[in-house]
Amino acid sequence: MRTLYFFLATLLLGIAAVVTAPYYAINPGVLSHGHEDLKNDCMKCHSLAAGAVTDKCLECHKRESIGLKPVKAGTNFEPSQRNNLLHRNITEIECVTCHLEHTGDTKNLAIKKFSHQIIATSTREKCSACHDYQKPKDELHTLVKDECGKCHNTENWKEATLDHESLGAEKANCSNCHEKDKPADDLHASLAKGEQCAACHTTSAWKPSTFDHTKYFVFDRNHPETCTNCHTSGTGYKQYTCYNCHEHSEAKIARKHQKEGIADFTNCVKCHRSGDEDAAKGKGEGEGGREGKRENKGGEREHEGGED
Amino acid sequence: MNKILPSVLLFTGLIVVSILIDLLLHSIGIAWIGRYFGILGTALIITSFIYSLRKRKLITAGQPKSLLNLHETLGWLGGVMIIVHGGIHFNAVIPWMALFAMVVVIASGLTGKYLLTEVKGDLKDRVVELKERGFTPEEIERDVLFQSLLVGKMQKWRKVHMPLNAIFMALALIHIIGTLLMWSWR
Repeated sequence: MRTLYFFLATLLLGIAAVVTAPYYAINPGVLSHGHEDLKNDCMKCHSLAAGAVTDKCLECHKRESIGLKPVKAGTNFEPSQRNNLLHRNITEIECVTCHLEHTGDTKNLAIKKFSHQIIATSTREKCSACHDYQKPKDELHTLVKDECGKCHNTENWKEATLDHESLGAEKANCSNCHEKDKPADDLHASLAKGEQCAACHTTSAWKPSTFDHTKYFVFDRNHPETCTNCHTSGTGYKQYTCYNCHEHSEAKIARKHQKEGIADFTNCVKCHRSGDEDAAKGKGEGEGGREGKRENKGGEREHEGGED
Repeated sequence: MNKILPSVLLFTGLIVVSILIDLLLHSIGIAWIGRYFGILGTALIITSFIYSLRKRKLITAGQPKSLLNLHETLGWLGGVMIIVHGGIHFNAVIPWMALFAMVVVIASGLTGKYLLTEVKGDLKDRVVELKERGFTPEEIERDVLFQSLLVGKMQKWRKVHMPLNAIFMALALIHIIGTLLMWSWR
């Protein structure tokens, strides 16, 4: 019986302490500075057997005002658009998922490290809802209409992978973004304005390019890959001539073609895509099969394109 | 000295082991586990009270001697768990008073262990003395004499141990109920 008295007396004294001064009697840690005035009003934040509930937090911290207005006037408050967007758009998680209390009176101790993984997938996919104001104003980002997650990931923002399909029709205008990346060599300098990189390059891998010389002319032992053998004008690689070797003198070529009844033989690669004379286009098709009757006999010609 | 040494070592060990576990948890960054040590420690201590139920004949299963050993072992282990759970944080009065009361109860229990050893020694000495004085074994083993010796010292100890235990239990109960009411269990 004596033991029971001790038990009951202690219990009553303890309950009295909890009721009159709960902060000193049972609080598990120092409250943050902003909540200091609530220290003996546990139920302002807590619900019985439910902990600190979000609804009670929102009674003071209105979602639409978080980051924009201080809860209490006169406090040291720095507006933050980021905080506002974050709290307005992420509504599916409880406040206590990110915010701690009873951990000390400094603000930093009351915030856990944020992870995008705690947000619902549907919210996480709408990056711009929170991050739109951070979107770069450069040409690329202005063109892209997709959500950031299409190229970026939340683990490492700088490790972005651009899917050029995101650019829509603008994908074809490489120079919008890549003009500065264009090499200063003769080949690229010879490209006319408006000619697009995509003619030779792909967006999935810039190197190697898809430029295929065999579409224009097949190299062989007598026609090696030395560019300056044929591209002699110095005005770019679209210009070429076949009249620089002993085999292809202008007079000899003219005589040979005229003998065949071919009047227009100025653009050699139009018919000769290799050094194999017999493989020339139209060979054996009779005179009617020969193209063109132009009298232009300029020694240098410009490619008319590799595709037939 | 030999009789009191085990109790002193057990009490020192309680404090040292608790500090070492706490240091270990902090050093590997899992101090939060200490929160759950509170539940584990409470469960161990509650289990140790099986001895008290047996002693008061509220249950009949088990040998009192074995259950006393269980009471001592689980009480000590539960004590370690609770000290780690409390850590060295002075946040609220009631949890700290409960922790302090528990340490006092364990110290009291170890004092009881020492007293029991001493009483057993006294009985042995008494048997030797009675034998030398020519008493028959039947006379020596008169339970009345032995029991009166045993009950005398242990009864005085129990008068201190049980109220201390009651104070500890009341404070622990407030702490547990307070936590259950304020914590989020979702």
